[in-house]
Amino acid sequence: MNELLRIENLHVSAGGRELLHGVDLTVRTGEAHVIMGVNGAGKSTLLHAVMGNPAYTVTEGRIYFNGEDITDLSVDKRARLGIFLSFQSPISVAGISVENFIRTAKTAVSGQQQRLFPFKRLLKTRMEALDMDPSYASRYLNEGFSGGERKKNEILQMRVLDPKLAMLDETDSGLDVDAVRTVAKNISEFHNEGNALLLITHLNQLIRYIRPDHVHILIGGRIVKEGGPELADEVEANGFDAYRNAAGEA
Amino acid sequence: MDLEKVNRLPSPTWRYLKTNDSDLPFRNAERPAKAVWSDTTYMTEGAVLPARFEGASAAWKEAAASGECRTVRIPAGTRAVLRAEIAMDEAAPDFAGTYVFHVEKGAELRLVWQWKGGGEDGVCAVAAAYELEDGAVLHVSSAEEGLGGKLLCMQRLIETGEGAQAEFVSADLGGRTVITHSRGYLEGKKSTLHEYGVYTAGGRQHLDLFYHIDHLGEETDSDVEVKGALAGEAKKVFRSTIDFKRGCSGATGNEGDYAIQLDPKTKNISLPLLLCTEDNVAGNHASSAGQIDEQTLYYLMSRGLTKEEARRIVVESLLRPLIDRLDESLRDGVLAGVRSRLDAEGGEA
Repeated sequence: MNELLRIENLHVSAGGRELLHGVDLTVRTGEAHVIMGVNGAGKSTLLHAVMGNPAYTVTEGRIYFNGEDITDLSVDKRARLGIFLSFQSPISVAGISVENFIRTAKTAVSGQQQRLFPFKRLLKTRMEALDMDPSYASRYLNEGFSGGERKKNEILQMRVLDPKLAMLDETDSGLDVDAVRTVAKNISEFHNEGNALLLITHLNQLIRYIRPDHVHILIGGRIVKEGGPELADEVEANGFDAYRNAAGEA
Repeated sequence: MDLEKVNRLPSPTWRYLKTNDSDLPFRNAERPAKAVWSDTTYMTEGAVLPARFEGASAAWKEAAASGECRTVRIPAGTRAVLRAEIAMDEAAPDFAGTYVFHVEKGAELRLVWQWKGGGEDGVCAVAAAYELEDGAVLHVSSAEEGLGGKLLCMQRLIETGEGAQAEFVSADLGGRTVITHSRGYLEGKKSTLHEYGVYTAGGRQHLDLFYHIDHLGEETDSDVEVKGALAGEAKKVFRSTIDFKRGCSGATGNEGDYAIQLDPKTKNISLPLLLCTEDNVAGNHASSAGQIDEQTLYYLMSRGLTKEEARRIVVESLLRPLIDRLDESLRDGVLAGVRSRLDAEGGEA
């Protein structure tokens, strides 16, 4: 398995406050990683820093993707290298349809014009797999979508764009039990030896379906514990208190 | 060029705010082009505007009267489509016209105004009255291309009978100074007036948009929605008033102005007013102006779009729902005009 993402001693600030205090993480192709932690631990910050969100500033440390230093690379260039982030709160944009947007994005990340009918077929197949009404393709991007529909739309984009690294920020929140199963099935189908997953979740809902190779506990902007899937079970049983205490948090 | 006070607020605010009206250039149309009409079946020479037609100012009303005057009367129960194409050029860089459109009971009129440029300078003064009898339906689309440095003043008055429906959609992409003055009287019960405007302005363009709708009849409905993007040192003033008069019980009115400021030197003034002397009504007003939301750009860029592409999508997506309301024959041209303007202006957002 090749090294896909390497984060070294990452310090990230936003609004004059340091949120990550030296995170190290390596993700290889074929792996699924889960990051767990309490609210405000810095989980989303970490994913946004990898994606290049301009709201966050990397003050120290480096991020490598496929061996290339991407710390200073713009967001769109990172996406074109194969990094994808499923947003916790996807933005709505009235005026551009789901189909047009994903087709434009697919053209951008693949560097190839997407022929209309093959693309429509691909989109239809992916929407069916997600139990999405086909009419959503012509609706404006996330406009009037429920929380669950927005999350499914993120996974739809992931499936069509087919990134090398898919980072999913609490994709299971806002989904009902059946929808979690459907989304998890799609994530499982997407995941293969050529790509990698980096998931954030508060609960084990998603982990029941996608067994991670590595689990990382992030508290107070630091990874305080790492382990295999058994760590997620332990957190579900006992909570984060032990790790919070170890990290010096109340 | 002389300055003329236009688009005075019906309910003035503090004078020091300098927003009660605008001092904008004025001149008469000296070498007017001719309008080409797709159909003259319902058209007669001459036009007498209603006594309460005020226009942007008395001088502009008079300027419009100096050109062609026509009355269009759509007979009861008839469905008509009319297209007016006004092409100005070096020889005839101006235009002036006064029109009365009378849509009789149960009739429907789809009217398309298409303005084409040529000749950098020029004046375009239009005054139009739209009189809708009971159950009449009117849809008016207006778009222009290549008007460059022209001075435009589009004035109208709308009167609606019971159950009548009027919708105006206009796209302003050019013109050095653009004055819109729209005055509506919703008289008949359950009549509606919807006004939609879309624009992109750059350089030192000035857009001065004025809407004033009186709700007189019960359960009448109005909607004013203007969306656009400002670049360079462009300035836009939006004055919109919805006035719920005593007796318009059950009326609803909405007015909104949404502007994206692509450059820090752009100026946007928004005055959405609600006046009310009737209890049982619902009125909403909204206004937003600012640079493109960074998080929206980030979201789009996270899907591989460059900053320029993302910016174009944000602006287009703001305007698209209103562009889609234009007559189908105008949509592609307007969209192309918007894209070309965005490409030309760049912007710092």
